[in-house]
Amino acid sequence: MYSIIYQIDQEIKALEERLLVLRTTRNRLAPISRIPVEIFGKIFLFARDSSMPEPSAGGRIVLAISRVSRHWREMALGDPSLWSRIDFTQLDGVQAFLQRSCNARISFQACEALPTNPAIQLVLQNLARLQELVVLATTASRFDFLILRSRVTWATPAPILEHLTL
Amino acid sequence: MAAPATQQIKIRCNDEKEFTVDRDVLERSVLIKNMLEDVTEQQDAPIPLPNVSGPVMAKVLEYCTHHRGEPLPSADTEQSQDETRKRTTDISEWDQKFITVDQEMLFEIILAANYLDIKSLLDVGCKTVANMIKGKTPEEIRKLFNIVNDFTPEEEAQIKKENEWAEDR
Repeated sequence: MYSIIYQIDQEIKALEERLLVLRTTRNRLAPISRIPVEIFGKIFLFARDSSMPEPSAGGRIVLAISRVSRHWREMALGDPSLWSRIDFTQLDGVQAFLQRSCNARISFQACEALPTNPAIQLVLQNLARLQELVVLATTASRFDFLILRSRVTWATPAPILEHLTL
Repeated sequence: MAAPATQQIKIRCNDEKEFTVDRDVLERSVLIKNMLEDVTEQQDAPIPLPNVSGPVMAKVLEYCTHHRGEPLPSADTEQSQDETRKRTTDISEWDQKFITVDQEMLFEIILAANYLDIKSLLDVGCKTVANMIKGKTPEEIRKLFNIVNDFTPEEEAQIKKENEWAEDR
């Protein structure tokens, strides 16, 4: 009895694997798959950057892109610049984006986050590749911002920082 | 000496379809512009374009004719756009109407613009696809482009774990 169950399980597994292969092959034949990887890269950056004015929308679309299919995920993870703009403050997410952006120049924008927010502190550990820092918070004290500004501009200067809004 | 703007050039697509077009219209394509600059004597033989079909070329020529005479974007412009990171997906009204085609033609236009090196047209195509993607979930993107989820259960679990923070929002 058990051996029959085992046999069936093996058969199910093989069929599931076959299904995945068929799905990947099917995706390869879809008209959009004719577009080369470098053009996809352009499309993804346009989608991300034009979503940015809405808080978190840039990060959300990058994540969505990386979850469409194996091919799309491969392209997304293979492009560090796609992960280089961070417009949210969830710590795990910021950590993932910092990692996936490898050594690319980063841009960080946070709305309604105190300068002491852990995500901001994490970003400040990457000052050497920080190109843009925008932190907007109506509830933060002037003192908090002064500390943040001094960190970025004096204590450990950011060599490629071009845009600072606090 | 620069050739007169009215000079007519013949091109031949991969389906043997031929077009005779004003040189300045064709020179929106950096590929063809360079080809023409390399040829010193006037040639009667059509320029072969093995990667573009007649119907797609007709569409591309419609774009080039409308935009004839406009300055070609320089490498500097592109670099500064990348550097300042101000990519928008705004498309002019005429371009918007022009690019309102079915998906297959849209992708063909993108491929042709890439091959012919017509940066502004490639941008219009890329922005159009970007606008289609924006604000959508992975499932909505799949439906839109007729692709299916081909992740293994292990990959699915990994993705879910990686992005737990995003689901909490």
